[in-house]
Amino acid sequence: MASSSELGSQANRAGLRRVGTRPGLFPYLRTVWGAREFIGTLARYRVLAENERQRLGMLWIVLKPVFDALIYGIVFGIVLGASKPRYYAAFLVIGVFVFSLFRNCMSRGARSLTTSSAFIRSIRFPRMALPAAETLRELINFAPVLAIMLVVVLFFGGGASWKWLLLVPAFALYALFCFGVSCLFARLNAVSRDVQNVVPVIARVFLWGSGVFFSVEKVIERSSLGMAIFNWTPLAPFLGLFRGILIAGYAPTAQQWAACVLWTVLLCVGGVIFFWEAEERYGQYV
Amino acid sequence: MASTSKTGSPTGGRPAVIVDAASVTYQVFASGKKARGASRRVRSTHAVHAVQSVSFRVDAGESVGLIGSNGSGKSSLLRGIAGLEPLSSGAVYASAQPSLLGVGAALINDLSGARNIVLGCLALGFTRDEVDERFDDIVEFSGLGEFIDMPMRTYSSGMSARLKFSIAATRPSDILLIDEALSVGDRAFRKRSDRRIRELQEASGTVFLVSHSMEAVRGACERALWLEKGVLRADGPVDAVIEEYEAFTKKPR
Repeated sequence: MASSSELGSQANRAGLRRVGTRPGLFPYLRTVWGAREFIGTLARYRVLAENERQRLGMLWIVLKPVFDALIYGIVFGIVLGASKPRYYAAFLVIGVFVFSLFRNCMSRGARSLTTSSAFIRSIRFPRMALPAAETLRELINFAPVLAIMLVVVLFFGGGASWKWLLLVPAFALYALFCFGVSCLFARLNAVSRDVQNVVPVIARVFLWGSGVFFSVEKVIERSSLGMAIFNWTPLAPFLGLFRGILIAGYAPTAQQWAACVLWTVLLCVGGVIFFWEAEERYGQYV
Repeated sequence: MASTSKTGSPTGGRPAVIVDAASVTYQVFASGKKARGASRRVRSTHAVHAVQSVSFRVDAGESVGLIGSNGSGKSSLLRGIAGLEPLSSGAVYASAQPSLLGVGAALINDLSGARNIVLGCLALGFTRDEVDERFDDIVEFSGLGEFIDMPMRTYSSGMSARLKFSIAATRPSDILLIDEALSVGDRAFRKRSDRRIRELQEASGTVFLVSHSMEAVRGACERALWLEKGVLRADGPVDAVIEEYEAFTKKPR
């Protein structure tokens, strides 16, 4: 039998390429882009499959956040009493609905590889297609939720205005942010299944810590350090941004835009690189 | 132990696949108590060496059978060649991306067979138009008839294996890896799939076939590799290697 080095140089001479190696980051992203038809179809079919199993189907996608908002609204409406933020219904609905997209992308992303293990072990395709499809699926699901959110804000948030146009760049940032989160948790959970048990805990920390249903500013306004930290956490600036854009009398601040851009760049670029870095090993993890 | 017969690789041919000291190792959790004396429970990882430093060269146009008992590392080696299983050491080189034809391509159970066909083909790299072109042929080949619009979770295991095979068998490839695909479905389907495999074999330059049927290996391959406990025990002309393997399995152990 030929020695190792001899076989390797034979392969080189014959122009054979090494199998199962990870391409560079940019060639890899090109293959992900090349798989966009697969990503789009997978996302659409997942939405359809989810709806076909339930009698109320698509309605549940809207009902779940509506129930959440109702429960928090009743509880915190009583607890907060007079210290409620202005236009509380709009404030609350934006908080709960926008937060739900983050939570769903995190938990779906975490399971995106582990639920497709047989697929990963038998066909070669860029693995990032899986968290990408889960993110797209949640964005599709978010469309009717967003519509209801806008209706609520229209009636309980002081009406529509030109600043609503800022929703487009804000939402684009938020979608990229959620995709980064999805990629990050996809790899973490593939390496260790324990992560999917931690995901609900992380979601709860962000639920209570980001001012989803009450104004954190009012609680910690006396502490300038507390406010500085809060303003630069990942999710709070997004909630502030959406409220500032949509509700009358609120305004998005430059600091909020800066924090949102910063976290989007960090998580989207970081999440993508982090996911790509283990590309050739997912066959072993799942 | 049986000696390794002389390498079956013809010299002077154009190499299609070179496997260079490839090893595949699985880390598994060995949980539970230690065998004796220890009350503390140790959750240690245990390394399973599925393929151990296997080297060979296969030239374009060769058909190679992979034989060996259950758990000897045949499928791990095949997935390593396909690039689906990361190697713990060594390397695999190929002239084209090898494609694995198996029945493992489980798709999404909540979706209908028809949607799984579309998804599977897109994942294999077809464009949507190419999928539409091939769709009817795949449905017909699978023989699933009206069941094609039912969710896959309602399928029997034979039906879903047929569907998976039909999807996997659509893409011709220069280097084809066939994993036990021959024993799928009922008799009528097996006949069809045998014929399809032969077509694919003719269309592709190089074929690897994993099978427990010595008849199938003899019929399709001129060369065979015998793996035992992850070690390459023999590599040579198919009849000689099968003879060696059968002598080994008949020996009382």
